[in-house]
Amino acid sequence: MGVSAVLLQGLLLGSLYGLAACGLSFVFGVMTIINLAHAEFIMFGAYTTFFMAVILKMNALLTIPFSMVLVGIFAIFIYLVLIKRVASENQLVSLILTYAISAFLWNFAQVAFSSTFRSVPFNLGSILVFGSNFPVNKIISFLIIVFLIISLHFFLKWTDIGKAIRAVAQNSKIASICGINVQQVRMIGFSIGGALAGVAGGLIAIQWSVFPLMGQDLILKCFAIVAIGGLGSVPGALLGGIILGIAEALGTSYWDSTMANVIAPLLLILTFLFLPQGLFGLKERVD
Amino acid sequence: MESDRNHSESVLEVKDLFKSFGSLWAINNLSISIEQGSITGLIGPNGAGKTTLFNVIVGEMKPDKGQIFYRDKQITSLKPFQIARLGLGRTYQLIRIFSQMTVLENLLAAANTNKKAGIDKAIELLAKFDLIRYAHDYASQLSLGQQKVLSILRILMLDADLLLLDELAAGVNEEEQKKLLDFIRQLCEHEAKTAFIIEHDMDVISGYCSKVICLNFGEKIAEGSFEEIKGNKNVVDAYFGT
Amino acid sequence: MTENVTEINTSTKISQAAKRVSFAGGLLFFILYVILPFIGSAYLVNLLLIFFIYVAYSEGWNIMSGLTGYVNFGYSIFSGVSGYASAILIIDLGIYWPIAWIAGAVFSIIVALLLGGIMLRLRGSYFAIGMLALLLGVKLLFASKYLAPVTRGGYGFPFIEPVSQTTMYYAAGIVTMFSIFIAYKIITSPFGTRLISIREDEEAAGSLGINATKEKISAFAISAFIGGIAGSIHVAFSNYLEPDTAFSTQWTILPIVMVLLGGQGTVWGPVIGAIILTFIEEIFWSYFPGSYMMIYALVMIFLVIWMPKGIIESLKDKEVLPRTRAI
Repeated sequence: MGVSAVLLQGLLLGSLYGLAACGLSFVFGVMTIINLAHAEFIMFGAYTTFFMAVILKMNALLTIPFSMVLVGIFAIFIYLVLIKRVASENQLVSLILTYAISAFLWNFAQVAFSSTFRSVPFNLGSILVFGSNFPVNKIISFLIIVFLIISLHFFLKWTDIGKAIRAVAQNSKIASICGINVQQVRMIGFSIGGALAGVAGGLIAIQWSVFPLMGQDLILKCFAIVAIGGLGSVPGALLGGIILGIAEALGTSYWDSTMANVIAPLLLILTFLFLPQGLFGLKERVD
Repeated sequence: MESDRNHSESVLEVKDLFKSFGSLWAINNLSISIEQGSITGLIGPNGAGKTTLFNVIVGEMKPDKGQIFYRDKQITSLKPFQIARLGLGRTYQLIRIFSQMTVLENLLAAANTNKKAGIDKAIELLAKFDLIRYAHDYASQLSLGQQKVLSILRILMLDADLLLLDELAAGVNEEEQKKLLDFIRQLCEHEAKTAFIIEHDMDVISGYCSKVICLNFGEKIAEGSFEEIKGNKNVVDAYFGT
Repeated sequence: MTENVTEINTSTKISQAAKRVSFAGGLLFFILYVILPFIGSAYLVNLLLIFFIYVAYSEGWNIMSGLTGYVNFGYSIFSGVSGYASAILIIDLGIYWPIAWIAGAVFSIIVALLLGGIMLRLRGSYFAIGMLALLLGVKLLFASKYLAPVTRGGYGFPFIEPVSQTTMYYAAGIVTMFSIFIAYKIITSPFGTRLISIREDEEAAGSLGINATKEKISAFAISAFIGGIAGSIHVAFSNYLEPDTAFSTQWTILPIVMVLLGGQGTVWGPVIGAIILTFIEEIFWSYFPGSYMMIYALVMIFLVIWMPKGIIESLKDKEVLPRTRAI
């Protein structure tokens, strides 16, 4: 495969990684909570798409909005019942809590859906770019992601809720004094993070496979991306995702896929050690 | 005379110190000398850089430029725990005692000896302030004044002989305040300790400090006895504005 | 005044009567432990063996994460590395098993010292996530073709260690008692006090002359040793060695739940946690196999929100147990 083709593959892969990490970064920006269950939200979205596409025989693309909404609602539930109760504690407490939630979710998936790898049929053929065949569904996925990120950007910039979210992300105390209902904004923020995860899950279901442990693989890549891009920065997450995607594509091409998987944890640790605020770090390092 | 020799010996030397946060100079070309056995006061309006100076001296923050000497030994690049072990103890403006640990454990944490020796020393210190009966209580259960005492006793466990005390008197009633400060004075006059104290309460400064340094915007704007400082135009302006 | 001073000089406030009762209880348990293989079923011995492994493993995690507050999400690294090292020493080099187990654990210490210097520069959540990343990295490394000549790669390999169930049971019991003893010694010593002060306020601890890095690395290494031996026994017990189970996240969740349940930073907390969770696991294994991890996760969720201090500390708060670090 030529270099250009590898880079394009990395870009397509990276955009998906970026979307996956986006929700995580966003939630951290709004409430400084590190949601270790984020990847299981992605898994939830993936299974939703799978069931609707395969059992209900819906067009795979049409299931994406459902995944988005379902996971968004699920996130609200998780926030109100569990997360909200520890929001005031130090960050480690919410870390352990979300770790436990994630453990529950993937074990639940294993019991409920068995460990079988599932796939969602969505094949629109491939097109030839840079001398290699690229599946059309990956390109559509890329376009959907770009559209979504741009929409999110304008949502945050122009709508009232978006502005409220940005206010709370910058300084929740002052936002509250300005009359913003911080609790409600946090809930909405967490929900948006979940919705983003849901879409990511649906897109992953279309391109790869769906299985209970998919979150465990993904979460570290998400963290690596968020570390690189900077906690709390959505464009940073996208950029970080693309960087990781390209790095892995190059790694798989010129080395092998197992070692390509080592890139994410390695980058994560290196970034933590030498560039803790990431490329676009908006938030101060919080312990 | 013995006391003259002690007084002329400088325990702490700060030379040409600069510390910035982004584009803000919190400490701007500051030089200070603290003499053995003295109680020196550090005053200045909020934001003048007093606590920042303490942070830099004990190594919790790194200066941009300048040097700090403790008994002629350069400590500028040492880590906080190393500086503490050399004999510099500091307390914090907002008390940072270990609230989920007992009073005794708070003291034992600072001890560098085996357990028995540590406990003996801790008891000795607690006895001086009639705090033995609280030894096994959680530190959070003490009153504010008692917690302030505890924070000083902790650094005494370290055998600290230069005590950097940040707003010791704040929030403490007059009687406890007097007891605390008399204790500090006694340590400096009879047990070869030196104290450098940040204070806002001018009664404390006038009553206990042999020398006063006034900071504003990270610079030293006045230095001398309390009487000399009191009428200094720069000091008055700093506090009340022109 | 003399009375006050003698009272202060003891770090425990346990009455003489309580001490006698605990001693009697301990003796009784010890006797039962020794004779169980002769009077009990193989199932019971097996159960207790698993229980011992859990206790030792949790005490190890507790010594680091329970005391310093540095949550180690990558604890399986130590048990996995030690498990592999000891198994390979036995199978490939024919080393006598107790020596192999200890050698494996020593290997874990070395790994801890190397990693600790790097990872312990990270604070709080960064350390936790970093260790999670490291665990994955180590798992991939052991599965990769580079280490395959030694580790047999991703598919792992079956093996039988030349140790009988009963011998393993006795060895595990000794290791467990040792780990509880070490935890007790550390927690009631000035070293333990310093570790707890790091959890309380690391910067203030530094201002009191505490070299936090050194203390953390020491606790990390001790934790690795105990986790290592527990890992060696566990591997001997499972008769199959592969990266996915040796370095599993499942195996990381276990000590966290047990320690949280029993009480982090307490001597007997991990034991209580292990008792309750082994019990739950046995029940759910019969009726809903595969679901016990879900139950663990639920328990963990409940604890973090409603009982973060754990059982023992809560009992101390309610004055049911004396307020001393010795328990």
